[in-house]
Amino acid sequence: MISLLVAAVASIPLLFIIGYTIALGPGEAIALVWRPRVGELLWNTVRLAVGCMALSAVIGTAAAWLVERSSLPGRRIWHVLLVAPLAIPAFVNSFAWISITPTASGYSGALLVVTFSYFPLVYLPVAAALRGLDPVLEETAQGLGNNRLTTFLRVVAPQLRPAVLGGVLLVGLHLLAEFGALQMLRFPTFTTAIYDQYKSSFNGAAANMIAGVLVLCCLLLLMGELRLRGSARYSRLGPGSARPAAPMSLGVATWPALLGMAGLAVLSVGVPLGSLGYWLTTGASTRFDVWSLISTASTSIGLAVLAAVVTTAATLPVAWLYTRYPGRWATVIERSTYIGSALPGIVVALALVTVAIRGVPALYQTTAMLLVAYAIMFLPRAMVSVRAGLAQAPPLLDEVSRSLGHSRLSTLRRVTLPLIAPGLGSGAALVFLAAVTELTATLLLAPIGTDTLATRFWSLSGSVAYGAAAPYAAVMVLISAPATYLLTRQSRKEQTR
Amino acid sequence: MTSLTVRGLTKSYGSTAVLHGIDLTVPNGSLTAVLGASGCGKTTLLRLIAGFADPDSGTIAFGDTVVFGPGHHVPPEHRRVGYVPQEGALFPHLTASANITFGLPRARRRVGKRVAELLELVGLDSAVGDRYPHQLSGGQQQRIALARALAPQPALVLLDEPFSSLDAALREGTRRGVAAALRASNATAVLVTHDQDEALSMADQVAVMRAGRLVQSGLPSAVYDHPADAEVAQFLGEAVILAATVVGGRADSVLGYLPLAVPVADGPAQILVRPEQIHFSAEYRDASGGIAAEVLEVHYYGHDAAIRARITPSGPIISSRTLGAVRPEPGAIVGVSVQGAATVLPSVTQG
Repeated sequence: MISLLVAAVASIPLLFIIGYTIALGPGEAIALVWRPRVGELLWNTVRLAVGCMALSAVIGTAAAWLVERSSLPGRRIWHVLLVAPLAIPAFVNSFAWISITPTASGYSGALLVVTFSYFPLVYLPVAAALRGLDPVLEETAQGLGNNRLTTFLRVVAPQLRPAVLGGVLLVGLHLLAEFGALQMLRFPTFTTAIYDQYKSSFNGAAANMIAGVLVLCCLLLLMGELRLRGSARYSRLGPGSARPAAPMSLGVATWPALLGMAGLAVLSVGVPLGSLGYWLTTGASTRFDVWSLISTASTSIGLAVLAAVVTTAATLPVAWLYTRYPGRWATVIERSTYIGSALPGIVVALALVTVAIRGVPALYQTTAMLLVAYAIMFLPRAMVSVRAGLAQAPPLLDEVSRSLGHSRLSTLRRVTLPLIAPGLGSGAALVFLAAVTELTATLLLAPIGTDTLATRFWSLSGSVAYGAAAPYAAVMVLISAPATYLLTRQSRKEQTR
Repeated sequence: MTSLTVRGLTKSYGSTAVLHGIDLTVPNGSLTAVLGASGCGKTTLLRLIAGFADPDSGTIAFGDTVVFGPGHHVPPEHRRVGYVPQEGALFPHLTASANITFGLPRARRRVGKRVAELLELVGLDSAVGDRYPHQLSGGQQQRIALARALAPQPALVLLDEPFSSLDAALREGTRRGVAAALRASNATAVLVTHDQDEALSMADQVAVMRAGRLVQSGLPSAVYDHPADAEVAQFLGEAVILAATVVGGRADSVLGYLPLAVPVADGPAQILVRPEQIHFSAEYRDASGGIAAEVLEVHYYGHDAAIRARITPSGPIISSRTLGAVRPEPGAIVGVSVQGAATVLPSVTQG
């Protein structure tokens, strides 16, 4: 029952867009969509997405191979540096670039900035896949008469494919949802256009129809991702853990490789941190309001904690249903919670605003509404962890506990909860991390007077008060960093398990 | 401890009937092995006894107490059943000691004496108590699972293929330790297994299950020597089954005139001879009128050897298990002799 409610709430934005389009009628809808402006936005969005996905695939895969399989010195440090961009929100990254060089705008600037923000989404799964590959397979292939190159092409590459594709699709979904970075770099795409329409004229119909086209693109990517996840099972067979592979010697290529990695680290981590540092030391000293920084930081943290609790709690019944009573309906309910992740924050916010104004005006501009938006957007992140946690508590353990004289309630307290607690914790941490740097939905939905780090940073940097904005960005990075670190450790553990 | 009585138990999942009326009595303090191939419903039977699922009909009684039947339904936590699942299923977040004391009332959990007693009972060192399940070997996990089941002094202990996940070297020792611990605690126990060696060597009573029915139950030797039908005979061990004619209390077959363990009326019959009853001798003397066989395959195991041979010139194939000394080469002609009596299998129309 509760699961159904959760699934229904998660489907609100999608149902809203579909319902709105139907209500508008086909003629009107086509007239709104079939405009040169929309074509231009589509072209911008697609070329940015395709460019960034291709670049991320190349950079992420190459970096993963160098770190996991080659004799590159300092592999642990490189791993940390390659994951670090995840702790820097894309809109902070674009702020860092645009504030030191105004040339970092337009297509090339946007492509550069988003690629350096999002390539770790490819690097992480590919590195994990390379680590999980059993070298025995490669040795077997060589025993069957393949050389290094044909072994890579025939054995390694097919096994990396799901990881690369999965990472690239994730990059694509993030890009379609990206708003802050692109607005700041003055590169108009669907998200920025929706926002401008909404802000300038409250032109619901136009904004909603652009959102509809955007949602279509997102669903295409999501379908690809779900399909990939369903079919690709290249896990190791048999018990025991894989032996680590012997690294391949780079020889004379070591120096170019080191140089390339260093360049990547400088551009993706060095520039944003350096730029923030520069503005912190030069700009902020003039008029820096410590009190405002503390109050927005506590607002951000408070909202993120609430979001984490609400979202994780909403996940639990759905994950329970899915793992304990698997079946078609459980799968449908579980999958429906994934839709939210594919929808850009701006679409979720727009849908909620319209639905609230028409249905329950009392909810409009309340914290509760903002939390619902966070929950819709971040359910899948919690779902993955909570489901993995529940898998740690198979029904058999419940039965054993009950045969030892414990009631259902006592079993829940003494067996199930302790076992799933780590999963719940990491799920909540993931939601916290996402919510604390969330910009788009917060801009649209936050109650008047509620300022988070992200929104305050946004308004300050929008008025070119770079020095005043920098501290807010720095605090966001500081809050994200530990959670990002935990995340990479977790992905490492999952592979070795 | 108590006896267990199961009467007319049936269970279906959807339209698939898993159990078709099981009757089973386990005497107080004894170990009964339920033996059957995978998918025969033996695990379902165990889960019904434990109370994890409810039968469609029938009764289950522990001693005089009906725990399931018309008007009776005792939930699993009040049945006092010790359950040892496959692979142990220890609680991964608790140490071995905490696992053992899990079913004890709060006041008794702290007392170390009971843990030490139980660890000794299952043959483990007391140092094992502080370790977590992932730090224990498979055999140790299985013994801890038994100790956990025995700790609250259950009315009945149920073991679901507890040794199948262990490798051969560990299995024998763990089996012996578990059997000894069960005997020492005078527990009434039901062991579910698909391994006939396990069933025959550990149990006081063997109950053979097939396709949701209990085919035969009795002493291990009775079931082995006098199986209900050819299938049971083959399931319990290698069997040579031959056509014969019973004449005056002896069976006339290709192996000669064999005495019968249990006399039957004259007429055609199927007889069972176990390979260990059949002996091959290297020097075959044609003149003596004995039975000859041509050796087809020899499988040498060190302590003994299994030999398959065809009765000359074109008779049925028989197999023999002999101690290592006599080892003919394939192709050799050997003399055949049979020790002990043959068993007449009940005719097919009965089963």
